[in-house]
Amino acid sequence: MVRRYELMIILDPNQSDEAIKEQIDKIENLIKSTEGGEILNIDNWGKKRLAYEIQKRPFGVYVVYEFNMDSTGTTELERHCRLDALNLRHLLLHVPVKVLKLKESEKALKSSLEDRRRRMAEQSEEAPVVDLLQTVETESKEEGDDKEGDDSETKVEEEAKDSEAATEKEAVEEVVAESSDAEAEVVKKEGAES
Amino acid sequence: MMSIRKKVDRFHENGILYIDYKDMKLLSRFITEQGKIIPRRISGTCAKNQRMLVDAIKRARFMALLPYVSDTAR
Repeated sequence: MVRRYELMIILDPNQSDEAIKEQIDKIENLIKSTEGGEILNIDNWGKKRLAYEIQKRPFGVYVVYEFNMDSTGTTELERHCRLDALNLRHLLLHVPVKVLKLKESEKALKSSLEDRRRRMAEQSEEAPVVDLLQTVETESKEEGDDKEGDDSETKVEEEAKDSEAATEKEAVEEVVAESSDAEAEVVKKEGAES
Repeated sequence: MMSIRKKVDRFHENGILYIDYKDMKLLSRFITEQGKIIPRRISGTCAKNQRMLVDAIKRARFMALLPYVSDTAR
C-alpha cells in the first residue's frame, strides 16, 4: 500500500560536501527504486547546531525527505539508515491522510484568521485617526484666519501631521503582531517559576 | 505576582491544527528554560492539542532539535 512518509536524517558534518551530497542522493535513489517510490520534496537544512551532542559531535547536517512509497520499502530504508555510520540519527514517519487533510485546512483557517485580525485592527484604528485629522484641519483653519496669505506654510504642516499619523498606525500594527510573542514569553516565565 | 488570566489554547487562537515536530519556533514556546514541557494547567492548551504537542516535542528532542535537559540546568 502506497503511503506518504517523511524521513529526517542527521548526517556527520565532518566530511566533504561531495560525500554528504552522495549520501543524500543514495537515499533518494533508494526511495525511487522501491515500489511506488516518488520523491515529493527534499529539504536540506544544512549544518545546524545540535541541542545536545550525538557521538561527541556538536553539529549535524539535517535533511528532510517527503515522499510516497509502498509500506514494504520501510524495512530496507530503516536498515540502510541504521547501517550508515555517518548517518548520526534518522526518523522515519508515516504521515496519515488525516494529517495531510489537517495541514490543508490549516492553511485556509490561518488566512481567514489573519483577515479577521486585520479587519479588527483597522476598525480599532479608524476612530483615533479620524480625530487626529479633524484636529489638524481645525488648527490650520485658525492659523489661516490669523495670517492671511500664508497658505503654503499651513499645507506643509498638514502634510507633516499626516505622516506622523501614518507612523503611529504602523507602530500600533507592530505592537499587535508582537503581543502574541510576548504572551508566549510570559507563559514560559510562569512555567519556570512553578 | 501571578495574575489570574483567562486561559486560552494558543493553537486554537492561531489556527494551528497539526503541531509539527519541525516547527522549533512554535515548540520552544512550550518548554521551560530547563527544557521541560510546560503543563497544560499553566499554558492553557486543550487536552487534544497537549497530546499532539507532547508527541512533537519528544520527536524534536530525539532529533536533537530541542534539548532533553537544557545547558542552563546542567
